[in-house]
Amino acid sequence: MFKTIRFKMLVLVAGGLGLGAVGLALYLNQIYQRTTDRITRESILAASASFAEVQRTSVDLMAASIVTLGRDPELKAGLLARDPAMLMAASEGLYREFRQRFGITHLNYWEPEPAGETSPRGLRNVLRVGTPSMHGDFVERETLARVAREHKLVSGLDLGFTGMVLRVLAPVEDGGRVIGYIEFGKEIGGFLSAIKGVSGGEFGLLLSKKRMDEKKWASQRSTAGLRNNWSDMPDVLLAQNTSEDDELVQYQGRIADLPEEGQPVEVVTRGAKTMARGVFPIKDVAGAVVGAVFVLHDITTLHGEMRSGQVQAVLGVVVLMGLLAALIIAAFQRLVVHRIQAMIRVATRVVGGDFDLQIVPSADDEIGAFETLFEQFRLLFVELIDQAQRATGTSGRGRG
Amino acid sequence: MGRLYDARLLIERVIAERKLEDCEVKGRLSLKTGFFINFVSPDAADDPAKLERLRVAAREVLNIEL
Repeated sequence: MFKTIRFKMLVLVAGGLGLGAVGLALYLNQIYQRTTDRITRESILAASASFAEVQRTSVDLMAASIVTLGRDPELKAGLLARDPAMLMAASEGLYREFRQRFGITHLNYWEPEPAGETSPRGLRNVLRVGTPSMHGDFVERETLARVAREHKLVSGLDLGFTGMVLRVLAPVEDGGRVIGYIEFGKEIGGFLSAIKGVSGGEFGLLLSKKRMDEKKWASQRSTAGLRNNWSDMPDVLLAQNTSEDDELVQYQGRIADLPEEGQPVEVVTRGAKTMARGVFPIKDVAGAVVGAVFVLHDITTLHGEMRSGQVQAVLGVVVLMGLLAALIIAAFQRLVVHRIQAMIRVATRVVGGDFDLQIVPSADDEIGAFETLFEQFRLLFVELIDQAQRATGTSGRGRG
Repeated sequence: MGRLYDARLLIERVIAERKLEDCEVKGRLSLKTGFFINFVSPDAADDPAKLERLRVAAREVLNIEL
């Protein structure tokens, strides 16, 4: 059976179609990969745009609030006097309302830089409305240094020991003289919910470990009743996650190496859900990459369709393979095997003495040409046998 | 009569008893032995090589021992 041409042809057909099935499956997989990559990049782009938009509206809100506060005579008097109690009385109610309504987490007042100081590295605090017991300290921070240098509105992200804050600062003037600075701040963890509301999907906030304090982080997590996740990732910490599964937003790479437009991370399947994942960097006010936003996009439907398409394609090829193999074998049997077997039968009978048996060409094709040749050969053979019979006086004929 | 011719007669008897196709069976035997069974005459020489080939062919085709 294994030596027959029929079997060899079957192997060839099955092999060819099998290769076709594998190629088709690979091709479909490639299309799926490309689609997933495109969807992930679009999700990253949408999330990045939403993040920028949430940041912009937050800055606008805080800037407008600073301008309004800066005109308040009570507040100006408190700032001139550098009196925390006066400032507290003038702004505590506002702070509480802003915190509740807009998620404002910081309202701070700062002394002006010392006269003649042209490049201050920071400013001295007059009052932190959120933590009034902490005041009078000198803080070095890029946003403070810039507002003291430039005397105009400064905004940007700032990574502290325990989190990232979007800060907006502006000078307060009296008679053309800077009498201090007002700062509003908003922890950006809340941004994720806003982005989720705009672009859908789930998001995780990753913060660079470089500027964070491990002990303070552990303490903050413990206070919030959360597991200390400091060791989960080598370069970053998961500060916020809108999804229920922290495992989905693990990033083992270095955020400093991320391209500006972000990059897709491999697709994961957890239970019944398949998620396309990507990450884009976020920069602080100095332009340094200090964090990243992890983007999750549910592609369960697409993934299911792709898998189902792959199975259908492979099954289709298998069915096609069966049909084609049956068709080829049937044609081969009829066009070649039967006719060769007929010639073998005739040749055997002729040799056995049935000299009158003829081979009639059954078609004008390659086997037909061979049948014609075989019949010519048979005639010559019978003629030769007749001559031998005449010479020897024996009969080579059989009994039918 | 020689042994080769006796063998031919035995084969013809078996074919007749079993009601087989004479030309078909003899054709197969001839193709296997390399000589025409029908040309084996009573005075054919007992070529041992031919006899051995016929013995093997008869065993394969008819399952008989010559």
